[in-house]
Amino acid sequence: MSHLHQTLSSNQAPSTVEYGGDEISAIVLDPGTAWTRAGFAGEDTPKSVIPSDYGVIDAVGDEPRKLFIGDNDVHAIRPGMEIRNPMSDGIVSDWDTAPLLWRAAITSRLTTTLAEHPLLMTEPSWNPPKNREKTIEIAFEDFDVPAFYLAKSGVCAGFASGKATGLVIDVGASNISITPIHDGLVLRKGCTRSPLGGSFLSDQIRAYFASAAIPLTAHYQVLSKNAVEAWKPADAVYKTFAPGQEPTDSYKRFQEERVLTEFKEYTAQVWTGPGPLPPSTGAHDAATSLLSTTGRPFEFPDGYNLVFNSERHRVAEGIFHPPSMLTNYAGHPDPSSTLGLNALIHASMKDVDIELKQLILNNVVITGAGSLVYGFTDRVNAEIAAAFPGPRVRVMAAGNSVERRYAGWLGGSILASLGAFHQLWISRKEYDEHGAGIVEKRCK
Amino acid sequence: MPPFRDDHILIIYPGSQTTLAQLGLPESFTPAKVRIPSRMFPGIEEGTWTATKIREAREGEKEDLIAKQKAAMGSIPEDDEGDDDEDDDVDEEMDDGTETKATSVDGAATEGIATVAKDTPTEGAPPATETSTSVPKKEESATPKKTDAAAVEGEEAEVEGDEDEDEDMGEDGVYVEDEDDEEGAVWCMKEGKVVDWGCFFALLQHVHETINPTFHTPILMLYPPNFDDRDKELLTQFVFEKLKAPGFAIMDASLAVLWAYGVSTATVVDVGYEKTDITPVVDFIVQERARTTVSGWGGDSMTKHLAKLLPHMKAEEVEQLKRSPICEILSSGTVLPTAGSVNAAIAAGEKNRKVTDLDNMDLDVEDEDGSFNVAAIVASGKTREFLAKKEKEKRGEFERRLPNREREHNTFWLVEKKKPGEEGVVIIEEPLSAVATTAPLLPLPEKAVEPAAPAPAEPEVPAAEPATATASAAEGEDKPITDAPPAAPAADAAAPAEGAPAAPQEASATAPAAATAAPAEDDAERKNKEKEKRKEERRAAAGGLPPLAEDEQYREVEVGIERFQAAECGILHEIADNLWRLWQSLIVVGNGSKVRGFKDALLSTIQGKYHISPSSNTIFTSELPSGLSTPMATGASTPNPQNPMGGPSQPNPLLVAATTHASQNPYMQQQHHHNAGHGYSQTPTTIKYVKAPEYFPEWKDAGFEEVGFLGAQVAAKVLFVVDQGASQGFLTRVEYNEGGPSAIHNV
Repeated sequence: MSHLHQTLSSNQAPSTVEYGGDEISAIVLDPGTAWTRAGFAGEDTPKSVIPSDYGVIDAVGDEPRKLFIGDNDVHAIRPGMEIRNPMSDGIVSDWDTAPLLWRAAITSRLTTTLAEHPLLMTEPSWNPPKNREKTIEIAFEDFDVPAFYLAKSGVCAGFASGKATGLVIDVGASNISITPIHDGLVLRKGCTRSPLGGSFLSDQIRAYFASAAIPLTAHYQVLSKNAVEAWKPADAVYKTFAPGQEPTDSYKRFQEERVLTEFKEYTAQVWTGPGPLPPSTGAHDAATSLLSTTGRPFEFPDGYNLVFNSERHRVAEGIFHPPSMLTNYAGHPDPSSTLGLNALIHASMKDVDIELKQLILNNVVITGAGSLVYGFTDRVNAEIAAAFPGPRVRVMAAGNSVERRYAGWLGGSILASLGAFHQLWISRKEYDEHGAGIVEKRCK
Repeated sequence: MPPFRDDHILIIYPGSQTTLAQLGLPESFTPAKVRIPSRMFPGIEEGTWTATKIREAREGEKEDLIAKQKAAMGSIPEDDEGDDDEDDDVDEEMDDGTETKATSVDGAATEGIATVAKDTPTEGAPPATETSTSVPKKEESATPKKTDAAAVEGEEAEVEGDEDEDEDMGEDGVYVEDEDDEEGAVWCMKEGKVVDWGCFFALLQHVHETINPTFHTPILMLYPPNFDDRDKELLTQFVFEKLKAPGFAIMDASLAVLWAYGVSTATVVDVGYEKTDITPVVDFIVQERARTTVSGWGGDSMTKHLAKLLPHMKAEEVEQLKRSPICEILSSGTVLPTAGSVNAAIAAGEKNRKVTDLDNMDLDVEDEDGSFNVAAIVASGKTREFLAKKEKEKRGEFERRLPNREREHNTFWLVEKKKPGEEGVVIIEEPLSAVATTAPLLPLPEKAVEPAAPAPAEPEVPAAEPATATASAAEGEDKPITDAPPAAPAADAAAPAEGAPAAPQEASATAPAAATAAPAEDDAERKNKEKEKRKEERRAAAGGLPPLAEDEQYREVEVGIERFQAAECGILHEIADNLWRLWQSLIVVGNGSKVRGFKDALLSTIQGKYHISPSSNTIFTSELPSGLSTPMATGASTPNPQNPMGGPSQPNPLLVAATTHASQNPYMQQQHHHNAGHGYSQTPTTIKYVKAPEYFPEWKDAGFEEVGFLGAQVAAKVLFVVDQGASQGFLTRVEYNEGGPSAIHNV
């Protein structure tokens, strides 16, 4: 029989499904600030991952506004195309575009018949009720899905690592969120977050480049490059644009972001401690001597290349120790009032019941693509060990980078394919009966 | 389940432009035997499809057709049988208005096959006739067989040749099958997605009927990456319920490429017609998340760009130019040849040539001169022009010997369809200015004309005059060429026999007198002819000319440096940018990449832009960069003695893997370790193509653009024959009956 049957027959509950037939697999959609992930439940990776950033050319006269969604379109060079993002702080802020983005993520690779598949979406724990109702409305009214469920991404990330109880540290693009979960439920009191996520790290690197007068180019600006020695000016052929044909500033920034991402991946590293990174003190830099063996080179798209030493630790230090963040750019978080990661964990655990504390600390799960920065887990481990001394504190992070990146989606995929989950779906009939408010009752 | 036999396996590879198919796995795997354009024509009845266009006969055409048919019936009864059958088929189909939709699709397909059956004896290249009716892609194989047959059947073909229309005289009027007319065709796939399922199924049916497999024929179908689950289910349902296959398997086209190359991990770049697919495959698992389709960038975008550069050429002509060997993408930084550089190159090359080639060369020229009747030229009062032309020709001869990339202008053979009803006129008058405006032309050396004008040599001076006159009407670039180039590969023995029918057939159009002269060739002339033939042969071989269908002709067209600019529309950068860090090992396939130099140019574009050179690293370990003799005050840039081989500067494999999208399993991480080895953290430090498989000689000649088909053959062998379903590599009818269409996902 069908795929679903074979894998689930042993533990499948008697089917109470109203969407008709168990052969149709649910779609899991995990919208994040940087990426929107979608795929079929029961699979181990999302099939469709598109950037949440989209390009837009605003309406001019009779020309309607044009949207460019997806990897190909958003990276293409178009004069006048602005890059925007419908999310802020992990939740949807632009309700006009976000549904289009979701639809594109699903229809581009998965299926064109949205009305045939139940939809499970994830949301952050701080998603306000208004937003949740709006989400279910879109699912039923716009996408016309037969059944819907809204799951907490923190819980899903815990499921992805096989934990129903634990402390989920999710390092996303827009923020770092800490979610204590117990038996698959979020402990609301203990949820904390700070805006020191992946974008913050990018901003720090950008600020560092600015302060050190390192020119930052994006790949689209370069046609070809020649190898040059370190610290020598770049020798590259640049792309030229006719007047009026230049891409917009937001596009430039978006493309530069890709280079910064590369820098984060290859060069940046979290100072593993013990303790915060020693401050830079000029000529006799304590950090420099400590870090003397870890210089690492980086080559920019135009071929300009140099070796970074303590700076590559310095740019990431702000995540743990906000006072040491670079502040030479607009819109940076307040160094004195923002909580660093260790303070954040502390604040979260403070609000957790004392009897659950041990249980939760025994299952600390680190997830999110931002946590893949070199040395990140080591540092968290050290910080937690110092803050909560005891033998039963255990920090785990998936070795597999896909599981780390897509933990929220993966948990959703597991959840939606469970036989027992079938009774949790909100069916169209229920939605028609109770309205959008049902999401508050059913999706806890 | 009894095992399937090698020669019973049917492989179908549908594409947006061409659908490939083959029945049976030969001893050594060959390129696809059947190539059919992926389009069907809506039939007369709603919901039916035909492989060739059926339209109502135009005014004036009707009487001709009826008369012609009658004549044909009377004169060639043998051949006409096929025609009659065909007509009956058509009659039945047209007249039977009560036919249901499903059967009429069948009917359409049978009719299609009838057409092929009928064409087969006359044209001698069974499936190729189908292909040749539209854009002739590349009619590989079949060459010797076909030319032989063409030679034998030459006369017949002459009579039948232009009559590829079969008419039906129903009450509703006269219908004709018009193989030349492309108008109204429905291309069932676009950018790798099926846009018209009815048409697509009709096409599959047509392919199936064309091949006419046995009942024990399992089918392996390749699908483009854009197929989603529902598409696959529809396909499965169709194959089992309509084609009645006993077994069915589908396979991702890019995976098939890996099977062909015999590697487990690679990034497959498939340059199609209107799209380019980029698919990273790790350990035979397609990385769905990371695969992208660059829509709107493919072979067609190069054609369009060329068309823009050469506004005077017709679309088909540009298409052919793109496919010709002179269209070449030069690696970036190569200076486009100009008149000056050509002269320099000629001057440089002349010395060598003088030593080696000159005798030969002079002889050639002399021969050519010899074949001209000086008196006629003088009489025509064009002596000066003639001499000037000769001079230019000589220069052209030198130039011809330069490699393509050093020449300012080059010519290619344009295959052109004779227009139906225009029998007397073979020369398609293309004004000189058409091409000349974009590329100042050098008149062609006489060689190009020779095949047309060899016969007129001594005996028939006045008769030769019109031939040259007509030729000079199109002076320079548009020379009519007879069948000589395609016939060239034919065996020498066939030469005289072939020469005779070929000459009347084609040359009769240009120079009627020449035809009469041909049978009366004397020895010297034949020698002369053979020599030319050999020369032609050389050129044809160099040009890799495809064999011609009998209703086509060659025309030589010269193009300037525009031919190097096909890719300047940005396709390379577009693809390179979309590859975005997926370049551990690349495989480029797809007919769009067939343009000469495309692959190299793509590689150099990627390398020029993204390759991380290890230079700074080596500098750093061996010596101080010259610009950095003193460490800066902050100490930040103090060069530290370090061992770059050491652990700390290894890239974080997790991070690399995570963010390169493509790589998410340990296997790939090892790859990264391996490639990014020497302490340099950024990738890519190596960008290279995977080496093409070498053990299938047929593929070597055909090129590796359609290598997915080879992979499908390998896979079919494994799935259907070796494995016999032990690991459930394909879906059997029994399983289908149990599980329905969605059972295909278990395979």
